Amino acid sequence: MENYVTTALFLYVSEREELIGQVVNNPYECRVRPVLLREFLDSPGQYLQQVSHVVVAAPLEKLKLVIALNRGYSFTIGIIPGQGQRNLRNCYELPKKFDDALEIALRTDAQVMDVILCNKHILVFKAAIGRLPLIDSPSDISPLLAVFPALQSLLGLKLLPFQFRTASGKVIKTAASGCMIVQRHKRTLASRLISHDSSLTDGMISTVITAPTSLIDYFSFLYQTFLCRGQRKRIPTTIGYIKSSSVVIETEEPFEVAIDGENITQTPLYCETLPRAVRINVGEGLRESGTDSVKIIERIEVNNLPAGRELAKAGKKRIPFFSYASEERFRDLFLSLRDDAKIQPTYLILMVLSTMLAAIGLYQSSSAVVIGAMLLAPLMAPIVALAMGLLRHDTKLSQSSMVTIGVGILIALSAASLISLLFPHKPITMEMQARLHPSLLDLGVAIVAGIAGAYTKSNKKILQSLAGVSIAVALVPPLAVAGIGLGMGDLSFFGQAFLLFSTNLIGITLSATLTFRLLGYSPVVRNKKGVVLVGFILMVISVPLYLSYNEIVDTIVLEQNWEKERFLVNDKYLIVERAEIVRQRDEKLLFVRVLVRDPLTRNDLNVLKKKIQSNFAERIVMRMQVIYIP
Amino acid sequence: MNKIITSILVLLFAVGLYGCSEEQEEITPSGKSVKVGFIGPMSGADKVLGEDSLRGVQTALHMKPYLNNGDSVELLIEDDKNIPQLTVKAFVKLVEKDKVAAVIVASSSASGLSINALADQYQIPVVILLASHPDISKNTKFVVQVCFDNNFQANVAALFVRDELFLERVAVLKNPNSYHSSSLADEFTRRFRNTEGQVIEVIELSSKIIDYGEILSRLREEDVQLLYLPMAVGNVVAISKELSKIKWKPRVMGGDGLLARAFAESPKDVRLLEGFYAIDLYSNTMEKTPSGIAAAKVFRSLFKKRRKSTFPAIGFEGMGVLMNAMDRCYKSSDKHCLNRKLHNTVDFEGLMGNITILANGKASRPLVVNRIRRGQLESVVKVY
Repeated sequence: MENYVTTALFLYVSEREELIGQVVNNPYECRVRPVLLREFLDSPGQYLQQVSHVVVAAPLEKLKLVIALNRGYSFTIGIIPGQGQRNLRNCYELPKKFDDALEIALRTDAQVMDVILCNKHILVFKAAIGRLPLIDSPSDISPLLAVFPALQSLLGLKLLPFQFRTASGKVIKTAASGCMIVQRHKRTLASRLISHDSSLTDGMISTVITAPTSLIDYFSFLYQTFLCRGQRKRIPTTIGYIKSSSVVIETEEPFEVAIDGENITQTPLYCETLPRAVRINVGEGLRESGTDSVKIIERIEVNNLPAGRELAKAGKKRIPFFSYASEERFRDLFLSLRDDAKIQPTYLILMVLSTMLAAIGLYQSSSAVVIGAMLLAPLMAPIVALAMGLLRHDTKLSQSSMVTIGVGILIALSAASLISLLFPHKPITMEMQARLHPSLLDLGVAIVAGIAGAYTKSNKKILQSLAGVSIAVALVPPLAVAGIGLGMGDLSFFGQAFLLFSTNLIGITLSATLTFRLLGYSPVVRNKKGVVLVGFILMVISVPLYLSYNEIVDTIVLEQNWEKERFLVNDKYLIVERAEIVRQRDEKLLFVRVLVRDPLTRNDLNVLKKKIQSNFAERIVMRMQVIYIP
Repeated sequence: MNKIITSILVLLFAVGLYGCSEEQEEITPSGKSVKVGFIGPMSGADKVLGEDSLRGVQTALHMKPYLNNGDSVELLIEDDKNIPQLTVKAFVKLVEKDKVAAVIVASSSASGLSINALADQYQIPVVILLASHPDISKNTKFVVQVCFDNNFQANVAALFVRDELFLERVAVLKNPNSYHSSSLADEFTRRFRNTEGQVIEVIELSSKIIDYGEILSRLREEDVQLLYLPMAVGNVVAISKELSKIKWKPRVMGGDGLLARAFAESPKDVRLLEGFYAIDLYSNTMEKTPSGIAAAKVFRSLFKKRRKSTFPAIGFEGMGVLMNAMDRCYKSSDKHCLNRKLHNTVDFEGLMGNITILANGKASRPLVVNRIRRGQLESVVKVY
């Protein structure tokens, strides 16, 4: 029994005196003397003359009084947490079961710890100032229980001026919604967000500062908090972290400070550590060894927090829904977009080459060549620039990008028409056909591509993905088809292909504008008229796209259903194996592959044709492939 | 500028809505009604035929409460218990006493055949819904048969087995006391042999006590691949149980409405018919026409408690064909005009395809081959 103390005092409050019998009759051969805590606090020296270990079963505020006494008397402390003392249990990693807690409380291997004093009050778990949505929740709380109060606290969330001064004298002025001093942060959600280089005896105080700049930012923070269970390399963008042996927190107006859940003081708050000031019996998970070898230095990670001119806005407004992009990121992007919006020789050359390539690929019906043309096409860049111009009401940027796009369109139409005129044969290939029936699905592609285009453009790391976006949306091939239509003098051909191009152009512009808005490149859509106009055009072109989409859906359903169609024609059983409906110009062609055992006569085919036609409202042209089954 | 754009958008939206809405001409009720008789088994063993068909008729009337001239249709219902004598009695009452303009009959072939001469005698157009006897509209000018006839369905069944399932050896079991069963069995046998298939045996199950086990064991030994059973649900269920007992799993095909009746009359036995095929009028799993989609919706809203039956489909189509003829007559109660227009129905949109009534009173219409799969009725093919 050498692992257990031989003598101890059992300090209890009257509400927990039923434990006396079990503690005194412990199986660890420890002689325990029960003392009412109140009596002990009246004259501690009297009781601590022959005993150097106490076991406490009392509320947190009473336990703090015992810890405070430790500064004058040297003794170790064991704790038996009550049923409702979940925080205390978690803090020292003590077991829930009484017998297990007693076993730890009577051990000889007490853990040395620092004590944090904030405005002279002992801090056991944490001190919270201001609004700290979510991060002050216990880590073992269910996400739903944690998120609901966090969402509530979002209402009216503001960033207020804060000033932090560290032990080294460094002053950090920032704006934050709140901050939290964490004593033992292994068991809080905050511990998932900050580094784990703290120890119980490092003489340091960890301060976590929350400064979400937007609700989107905050939601992103929630996502990271709940989904990133492991240790993090970097702290999230909404969080600042200060680690110092002391910290002074000042605010413009006094804030209530909740220490271990009780509002007992106000800002300014002075927190200091009393190194190795107490020895407490803790659970296995919290026990440390060899911490002396770790060199602890002051850490300040506040780069994510508002600073400089942003502080002037602090306290004036609630945090917005969308974030603002940092000026540095915006400047780089804006310079790049201005370049994209200009007509440059490379743009003109690439437009001509990509259109020629696309036109030849279309005549060849070669997907590979057409994809090559898509990759070469430089049209995406000025369209994305136009989106930014519209968002920020930058007339110069808008106009130059519109001119660039217009010139690009003219070049493409001219080049494709010319190639069409030069070609002696003018077949309508499958690659061309594929671009003659734009539908709502194409609009969907354009919208997603616009979002992707704006996003990739705003992020240098993924800029290479823009090529993929260009392939997905395919701007030049429809233009080339439209040009071929012009060359053939077929305005319907031209119109259908140009509708597809317009769909792409409008869809990308609108969605890229809104994406830039979401990414925070403008607090509002400044050129509302321009965006409304684009939206209006989108609505107008959506009508034919909707009709076309419906036709496509109807055709697919019909083709699928036809695979179950059979015909009894003059006692001959005909099985429809496959049906395909193709619209060519104004005619609807029905290709049917039919399986049959008996030879078909001209009369059989006529009867079959009548039967099929009676199920179509409009006149159709039928082509039939008959396969005889043995 | 903003106001102008907003106005344009609102206008465009309104125009879009107008364009999308179906054009429906308002019909002014005339205050007059046309009497139409409905005869069917509303009680007795076959009441499912009458009750479910009537629901289809009522659905059609609910969807079109007035004819184009504003007249409404007054439905007079008579129960004949599926007994030909009662059918005749009901028919005479409807014609002589109630002065109906047309009669819809939802009874079986024997009942249908019993009134075809009367239809000519009284010169009353009769719409036969369920009777599939090939002679229903023979020797009469006033009877139209909305259902397919036995010849067509037996033909399809034989060719489906031969050309779709690629089976060569079948056995046919029939009830010689039922004309419906016999005619289907005979036509199937004839057609199957014509396609160079082998009908190993045609078995008449006439007595009430039948040793199915002995018959089926014999057929299994003869390597029969499919059993064609144009019989009542009870017989087919009994055969199915015997098949399970002897652990034999041949393909099985039944006559028209077998599976629908199994669902309606004996749902607990449906699991015994797993994998069985049958000809039917309708399938819920197949693509419907626009009318079919609308009718299914109205039917579900009108009848919350309903059987899994396909008979309402033919009731809806029969009433639809009749009202279509009425709409084409200047006077909707003009029996001769009605009869003429009924016989001149071309491409009327049914639930799953168009229906044309030929000059001989027979319908050119699609039928479906259904199958029970995982306890549900599933369509396999649709045949025009």
